[in-house]
Amino acid sequence: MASLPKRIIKETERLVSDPVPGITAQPHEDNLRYFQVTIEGPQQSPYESGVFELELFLPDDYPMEAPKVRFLTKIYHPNIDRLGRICLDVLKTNWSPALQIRTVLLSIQALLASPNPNDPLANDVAEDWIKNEEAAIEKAREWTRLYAKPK
Amino acid sequence: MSRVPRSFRLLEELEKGEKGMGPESCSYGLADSDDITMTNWNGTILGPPHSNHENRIYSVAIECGEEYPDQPPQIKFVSKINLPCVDQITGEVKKNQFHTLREWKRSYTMETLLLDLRKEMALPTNKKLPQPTEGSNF
Amino acid sequence: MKIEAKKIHCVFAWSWDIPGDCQDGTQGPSEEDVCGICRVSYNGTCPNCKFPGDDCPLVIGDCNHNFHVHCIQQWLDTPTAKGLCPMCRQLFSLKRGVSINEAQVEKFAHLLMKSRPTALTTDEEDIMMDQEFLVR
Repeated sequence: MASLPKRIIKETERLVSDPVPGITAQPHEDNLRYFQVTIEGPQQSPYESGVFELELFLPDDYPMEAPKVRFLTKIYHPNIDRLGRICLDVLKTNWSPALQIRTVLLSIQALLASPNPNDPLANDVAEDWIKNEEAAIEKAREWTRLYAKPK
Repeated sequence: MSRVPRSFRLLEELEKGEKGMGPESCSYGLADSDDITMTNWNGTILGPPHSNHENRIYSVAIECGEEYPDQPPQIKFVSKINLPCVDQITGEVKKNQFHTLREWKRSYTMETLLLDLRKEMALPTNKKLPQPTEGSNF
Repeated sequence: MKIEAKKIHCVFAWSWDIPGDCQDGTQGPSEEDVCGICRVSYNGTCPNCKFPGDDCPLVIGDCNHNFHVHCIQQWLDTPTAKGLCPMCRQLFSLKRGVSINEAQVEKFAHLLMKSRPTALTTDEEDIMMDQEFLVR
């Protein structure tokens, strides 16, 4: 494997030495571009008190290309589909190499705090959300209790 | 080149399959769109022209295990087919008798596998093999 | 007393000539003086170069954001960049009248032509743009 760019080493060191509250990210021993991530559900959101597992991969072209991120924990959210894929502008068209692993994970945490059913990825969830927001939020809470139990 | 983890590699393949960016002679997609492990896939192969397979559409089931893509997936025909590398009872493609599986490389994809099976059908030694009735399954 | 110099070690230091108002509000070199893309010091190199200095120059944007020229060019060459500065998302162009930018002006003029859809010059391009939007 080619040597790891300095920027990735620096980012990894800082994630460990100065972690973001409510977020952990740890590289796999056998692949330092592949991270195991947890994000705590934001307070006052339907995901509160849940701990969500994600995986993150830095492609060869990082930071010219955005990291690839996916939820591993089942989650009921209009911008996250059944395979855990995330619809978030900074992961696609609005990526900038000034962003980092930590800022991306913070953006994902913010997405949990403010679901956006008008820009959906999981269409059926978004429809539920628009039709009956209260019921959708209740379902998101239930899924959080069921699947996102802290370990 | 860095090693793309299994899940992101499978998501790439899924997107390619979903958008129909691949060749027309084969297709593939998740068997269960809810399966976060992305283990089981369905595929189809369009029989090659100028052979007994012409105009037939073969269904296959593919299983990408934990070690994919370091290890090849398991693949079996759902549609009945007469090919030397296919077990005539289970429909399974026998790893030792099919070069793409036997000499699997990490860079190979499910698409590689389906296209190579199609080439196998078109081999001079295979293309005129008598075939079971169209539409029968293993 | 007589002093005889037997050996002389020459030591020199250099840094890019960055005008005062382009230093992100800080004075003198500091920890923060890193390329916004690769996060290596201005006076260091981009990830692909070995020798700092003229082989791997620094450029200063009109928006006062500084990058190794190789870093910012690689970024502006991607379709995601849309010609924007990674830091402030304004259209990136070189600051004028800055000596270290001068050698790079031509390269950037070419890159900007490719990536600046709003700076239209002809009607034909206008129509093409409209069609592109319709397709989207």
